[in-house]
Amino acid sequence: METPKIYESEYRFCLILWKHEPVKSTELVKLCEEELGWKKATTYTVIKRLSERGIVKSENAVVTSLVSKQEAQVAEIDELVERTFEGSLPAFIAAFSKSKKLSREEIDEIRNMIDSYQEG
Amino acid sequence: MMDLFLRLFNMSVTASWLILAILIMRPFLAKAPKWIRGILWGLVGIRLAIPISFESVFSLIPVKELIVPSTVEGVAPTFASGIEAVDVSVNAYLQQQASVEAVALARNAIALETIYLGIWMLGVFGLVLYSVASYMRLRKILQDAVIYQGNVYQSDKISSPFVLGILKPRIYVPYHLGEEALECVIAHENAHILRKDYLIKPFAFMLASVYWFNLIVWVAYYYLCQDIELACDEKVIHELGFDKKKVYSETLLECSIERHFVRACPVAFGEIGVGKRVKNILEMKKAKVGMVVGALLVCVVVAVCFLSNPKSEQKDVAVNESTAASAGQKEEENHVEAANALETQKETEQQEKDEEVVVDVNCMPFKEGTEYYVTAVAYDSHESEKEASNVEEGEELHISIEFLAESESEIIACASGVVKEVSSNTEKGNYIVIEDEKGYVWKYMHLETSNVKQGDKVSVGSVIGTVGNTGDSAEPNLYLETTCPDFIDSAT
Repeated sequence: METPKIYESEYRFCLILWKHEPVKSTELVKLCEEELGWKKATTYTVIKRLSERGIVKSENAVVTSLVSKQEAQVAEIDELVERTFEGSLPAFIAAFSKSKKLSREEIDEIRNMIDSYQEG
Repeated sequence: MMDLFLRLFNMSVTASWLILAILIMRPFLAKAPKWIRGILWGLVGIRLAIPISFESVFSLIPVKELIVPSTVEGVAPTFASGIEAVDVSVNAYLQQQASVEAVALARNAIALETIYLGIWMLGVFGLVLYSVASYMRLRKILQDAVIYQGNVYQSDKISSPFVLGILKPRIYVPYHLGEEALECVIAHENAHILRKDYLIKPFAFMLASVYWFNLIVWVAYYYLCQDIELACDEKVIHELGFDKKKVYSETLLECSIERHFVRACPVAFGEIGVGKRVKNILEMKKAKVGMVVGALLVCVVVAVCFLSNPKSEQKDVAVNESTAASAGQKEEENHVEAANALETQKETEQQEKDEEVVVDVNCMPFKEGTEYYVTAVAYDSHESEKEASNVEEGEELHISIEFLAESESEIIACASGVVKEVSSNTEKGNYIVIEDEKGYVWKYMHLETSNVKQGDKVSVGSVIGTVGNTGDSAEPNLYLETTCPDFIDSAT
């Protein structure tokens, strides 16, 4: 997987972006201030940082994402599986099903994710 | 500046005794609430920050290490030698053959002082710069911290929580703490804010920076930080309830394990001795009134014994030894040191005398507070001071003294009289000759400027000129010749 790593604070930013994109940077600044408590300068700094890593794109003061929400989530799980379950997906799933009851939706979601993972 | 530095040095020495006393007392206060220790450290802060002190018979501060510059007024603490100094210097000099050596030493002394001062200032500057830089770096890293609630922010760049900010303190916590853990953390950091620790610690660090050369002050800072954390832990448990002890301890542990993230700047210690903190929390019991009262009493005792300085009479010996310590004297400079010892003793007596008696007494040719060194003394007709006092009638005794001093230092008349001559030549440079009321002659040579003219009446202590390097002279000095045989004695 080549999805670049997204840190937690940046992830929160991306959540906002995914929800509202494509969005004008000025609008984005307002949203970030409301929901994240970020100053204007901070938002612009983060946009710049993420553009450099190929996660978002800012053209003509309009910001769009280059990595989709799903891609990002999958990358995150991937890292978790690597770290915690030594890359063993079955172990990961088993841990889940042992610790809590999964709802129909959750099972479908996981199945989707697994499928995406294998395709990557 | 030099004055300030020496004063600070002395303050740190007295504070060190207080700190040592506190460190010894700490184990005895172990069972008492930790906020009491804060009072003791407050005393240290007072000692270090406030230059004013008072004396009491209860003072336990060992005399020998103490200087109190504020009570020895107007005297440059280290090298302004006084009247009696000449006495001692004279003897030392006559024994010591090479006066050239003394000049070199005197020059070294000034250079050394300046070097120490420079090093100290560099140290303070460096430390302040470092902490300002760390603070700014931290602020930058925390730029993208996301607001959680109120003044609590979460950041993915830190592994343990802390408070940052002077005017509007914010709590920064890591992500992914469980709900209960987060509750503990926020409670702890809020306790810090309530106790104003986010102001106390930087202030303490600033003090430690000023006194950076004193390791004991740093030790105090370390224990202060520790006691702050312990006191905070206790406050939290009191608020959250004793049943939260376990959760709280676990949170502490969790936060202290991962250290590969950004280390908070020294002003924001958060993880001091986790083991000690957990132990303290688990052992915590509701404080008994008796315990608190007892502990407070201890504080009062410590305050009385160590906030005050010992009484005056014992100080002069201390002045001498302390001066030696602060200037890092070499062996050969002992003659100046010995001078200081007697000087301070006589100085206070002299000041009292001056007020009572109308001045008819001779004095040294410099104002109080002027730095000078006696670098040569000669008797024309006699070889020792003892013989000098048995002057036969009619035989004039010439005493010549060379005073090394800063160029343009003001020279004052040693005795009241009339100006006989104001002139200059190649050997003496600019010079003034004064005949005093008893008929003795006083010659002041190598002057830069003279403030009097022939025929002027001068009274003892009035300014007659400034130190220079005119005539046959190697460096700025006052060469004084007098026929007054008891100049030394009468100048007392």
